[in-house]
Amino acid sequence: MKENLSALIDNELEDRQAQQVLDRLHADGDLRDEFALQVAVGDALRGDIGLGAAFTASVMSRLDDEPTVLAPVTRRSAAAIPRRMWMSAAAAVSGVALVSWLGLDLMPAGAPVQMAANTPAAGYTSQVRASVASNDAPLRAYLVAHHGYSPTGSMQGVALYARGVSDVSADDRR
Amino acid sequence: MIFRAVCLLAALIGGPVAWAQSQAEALSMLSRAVTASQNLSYAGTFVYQSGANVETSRIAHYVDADGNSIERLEVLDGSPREVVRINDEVRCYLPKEKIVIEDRRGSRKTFPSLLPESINSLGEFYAIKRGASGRVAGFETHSVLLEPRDGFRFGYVFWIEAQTGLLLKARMVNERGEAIEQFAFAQLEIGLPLSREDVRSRMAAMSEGWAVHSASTTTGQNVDVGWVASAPVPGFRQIAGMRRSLGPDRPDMVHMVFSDGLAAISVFIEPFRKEDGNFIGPMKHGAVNVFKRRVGNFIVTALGEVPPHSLLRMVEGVEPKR
Repeated sequence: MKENLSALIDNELEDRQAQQVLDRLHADGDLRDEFALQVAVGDALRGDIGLGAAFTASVMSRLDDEPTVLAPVTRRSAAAIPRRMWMSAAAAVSGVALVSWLGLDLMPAGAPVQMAANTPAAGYTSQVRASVASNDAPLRAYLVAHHGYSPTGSMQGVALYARGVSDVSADDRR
Repeated sequence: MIFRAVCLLAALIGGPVAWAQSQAEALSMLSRAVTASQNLSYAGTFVYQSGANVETSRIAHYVDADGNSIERLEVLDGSPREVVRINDEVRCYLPKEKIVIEDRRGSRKTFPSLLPESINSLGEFYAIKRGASGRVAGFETHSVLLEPRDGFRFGYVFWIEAQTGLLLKARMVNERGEAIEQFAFAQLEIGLPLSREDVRSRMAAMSEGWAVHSASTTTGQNVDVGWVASAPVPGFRQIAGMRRSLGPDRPDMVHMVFSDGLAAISVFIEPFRKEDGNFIGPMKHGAVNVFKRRVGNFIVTALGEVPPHSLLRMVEGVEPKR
């Protein structure tokens, strides 16, 4: 199934096969984490994630300071080495790096990600933070556009926009 | 023996009946909350909580003689921020960053009133029932519980004011019942004789020269956008599809919205631009999860108040229409 995952990520599967993998993916929390990891590792290896030299340096220095490495991965595969490196780095940075996009402190999925039933919380999503270029796509405008269509908005009105304008990092900064 | 048989019978018949009644009552309370939020004038203070982040805001809603609904929210903690909505036009003022974010949807007259239409299908994806009664901000409330029937969505608890039907407290919960985010009034006055002045933007005057981020629609809300989601998240059907413009210097983007009647997932598709940075993967903003992925020459961003893997599924199925 793992090979199929890689094939799926590389767009090498027939539609029907891809659908099968996706179905499996949604029944299997472990596989889902594996998948998310492979996507992140792949993106990182391809350099799709814009991690500048400063970021890497900060990760490395954090790694030096980090006595215990949180890497809740039980299975090892060929991808284990880059994955472990990635996760250690991510774990080390987590809680340190803050991301500012036009004042929107947007972070890659932070620590206590609330997953649905039977989804193990331990995945790279629980650890990764990365820097987002300051001119990244206007996510805040996305959020505002999204809230215009959020059905709960029909009961909550403009209160819902407290989300879009909330200063998520305020507590970290204080 | 007969007594036991009668009890059993009563349990068999009475159980489902009571449950159905509870669901019907709960649904009618939700419908009422939608109407109340649109028709009542009120002013108060509410607390928004998401993870460790807590913010207090002042809010006022005013309905004028012509039926225009005007609402103003002012964040009281941290950097000052303001949101003003006039019917379906929303403006967010962020003075610290000197940014105005606009959303204009043109054709739709009322603020999102999606719920009443979809309210009857909610039962397919959520177990809906009445919860306990209690006090919120000094008002008697009844609560409504919506427990998700699968792992693709979160649960909700709504506290609705007994007299007017106004929603006073809303909580989104994970499968363990832990709060992911909560909106709750701390103080509130309902039915006040407000005026236009009470909901007038205090920041509009100083916002001249600020950067304006707008995502105004350039088409109707249900047009063929040339993209499909081939493996949608169970229960989420497409409720809107449109093109939006982020500004004169950018190509139009596609915005598709999917909803199960309560939660919504937005999918944004934009041509890839180097200058936008190239972050790919999951992110979150408070209780809203985000997942970005590159599809060919496009960046696909899914976001919504749903678990991260629901977004992953949504993003994976997004492809150009053949």
